[in-house]
Amino acid sequence: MSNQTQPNVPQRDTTRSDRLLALTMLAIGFGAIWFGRDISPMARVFPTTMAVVLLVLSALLLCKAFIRRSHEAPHETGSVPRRLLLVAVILVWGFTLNWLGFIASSVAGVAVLALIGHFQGWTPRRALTYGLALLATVAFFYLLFDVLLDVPLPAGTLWQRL
Amino acid sequence: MEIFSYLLAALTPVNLMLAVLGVSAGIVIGALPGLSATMAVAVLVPITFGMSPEAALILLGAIYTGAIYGGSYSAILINTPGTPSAIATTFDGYPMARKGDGDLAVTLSTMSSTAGGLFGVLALVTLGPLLATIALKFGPVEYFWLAIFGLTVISALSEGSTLKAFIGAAIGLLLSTVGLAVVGGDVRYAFGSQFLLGGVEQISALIGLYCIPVLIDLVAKPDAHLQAPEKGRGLRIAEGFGLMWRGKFNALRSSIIGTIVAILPGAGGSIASLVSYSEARRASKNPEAFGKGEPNGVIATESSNNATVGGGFIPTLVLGIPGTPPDAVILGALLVQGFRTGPEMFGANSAVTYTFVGGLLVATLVMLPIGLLIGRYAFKSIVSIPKALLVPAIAFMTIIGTYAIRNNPFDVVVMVVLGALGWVLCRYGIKPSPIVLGLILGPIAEQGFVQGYLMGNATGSLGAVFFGRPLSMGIIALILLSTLIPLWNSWRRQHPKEALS
Repeated sequence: MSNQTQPNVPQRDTTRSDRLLALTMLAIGFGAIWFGRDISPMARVFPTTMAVVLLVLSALLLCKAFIRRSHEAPHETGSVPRRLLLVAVILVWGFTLNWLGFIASSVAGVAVLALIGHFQGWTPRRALTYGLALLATVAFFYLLFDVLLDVPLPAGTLWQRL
Repeated sequence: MEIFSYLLAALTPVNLMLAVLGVSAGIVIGALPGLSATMAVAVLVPITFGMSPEAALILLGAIYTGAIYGGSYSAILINTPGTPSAIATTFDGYPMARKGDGDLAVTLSTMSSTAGGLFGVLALVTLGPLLATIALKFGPVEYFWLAIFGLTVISALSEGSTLKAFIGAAIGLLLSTVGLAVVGGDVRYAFGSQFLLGGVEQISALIGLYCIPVLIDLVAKPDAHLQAPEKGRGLRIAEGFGLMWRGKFNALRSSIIGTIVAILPGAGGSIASLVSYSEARRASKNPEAFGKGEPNGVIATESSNNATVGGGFIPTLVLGIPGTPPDAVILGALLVQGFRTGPEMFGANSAVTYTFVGGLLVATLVMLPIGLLIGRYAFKSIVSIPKALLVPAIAFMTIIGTYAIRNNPFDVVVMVVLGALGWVLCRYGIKPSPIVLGLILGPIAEQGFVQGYLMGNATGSLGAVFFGRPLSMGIIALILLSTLIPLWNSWRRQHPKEALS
């Protein structure tokens, strides 16, 4: 969560990370100007102006990070592998939507995420209850979007080929 | 008397049923991240094609009202605004939920939304024609400054470094320029990818930047997601009423702001709720409490965004210019039926207008019991759901919500990547709200900026175009105030003795 919601969490020294952030933003600003050089002047004026604004703000942050120390972010705790796994699973889910189809990719996706989000031991009863609840969720949203709201969901190119 | 009879026509069993159904459907759709009020109205428009204009307007208005309010549920309970107009509700709603006061936050949101909605409807019927003429005076440059005002407000409001918040806003503005240019139609920053031609989809980005960081943090630790409420507290209606009574001026001021902002075509509930939140914090005796679970923050944003419903109908019905994006969909639905909006809406077609106003009034009133009922169970349910179910369920909703917008799996990938980047940036002190607002307000700002730039070049006086009109100067003054006051307050906190002397 953001430190906004955790007022009592000790803040870490962000001076070095501020320098890195400022340099990254400077690179993005210069990149926006560089990659915008082939665009017509009328379409270039706004992104170029915003890139210049970003450059100025990043330069200010860089100066500030060299002048005084800052403590503007909370100490990070918790499982890093679980975080990375979560992002990877959702990414794979997104990439396989068209190939596996909505139902198959969603059932696989929610099953893996349930494993990642669970910290206690698994019992057969718990696995069955959670499995049924997640299947019901997938079914409900499939019916809501595909049948009721008429939003076409991918059937899966894999199954169409078989 | 004639007007009164038109208003009473909204109370027929069919119209009452439409109002109840519309509000309920709107609440459910609005509460789902990814389904905005605009989408709620858009997907249900075909149902109205066989109806009379009055019934169609009542149903669509009720869906719109319910969806704007429903957006607060997910904002409060999972820190993910169901609709863009609920962005500011996350600032205090979610911290309240984390402290175990999610039920109170939902009750306050329901009461404030009803109060704001009623104010908006009253404004529609009384001030409509007069206020709509003032909005017509806004030119492209004023819209540019208005968008910048929205960005400075959010940046100044963000916790932590204001400088980093401005950097976040600039990133959002740059992201909004990916794809086809608003003016000119050039392809920008697509790097040869056909998927980037359409740009970064706003709702996908909103879902990613707000929802993915919550998921990333949820799986990191075994602790409970929200603090469980004490047992036997009921709906906390008396407590909610007490807080509403104490915050009555806040609710009134926010409703007025919501109505005025909604009258400006294109400026919707997201700007209105941010401006109201800013004003509520500025006027508060305890501004430090905002962002940490201050009930007045929820009252301000929710009364304001629901006031935009009635306010947005003023230019839609009187001038045929949609005040907010959902109004544009409703306007389209009416045109499909062969019904033209315009000044005669309060003249020859006043029967339709006043019956619709009556229906909107009924829809806003029924939102109170329906919202309290759904809200109570929503908080109890979300608290009791284990993480092993909550994480996949939220992830699933983010994916289906993102995919449904354009039926494009690439949007899901963009949503996840932006969400992961948003989480990293948050660790560096850049919060998601300025980035999201930059993305949403980017096209409005660019259109105004480029048109102003062209006008300035054509007349040979760029300065006069951007700084010469009184309306522009008024908005620029507000921008300076919204930027400088928080900086001054921060400096005063750091140097109390110097400030005193």
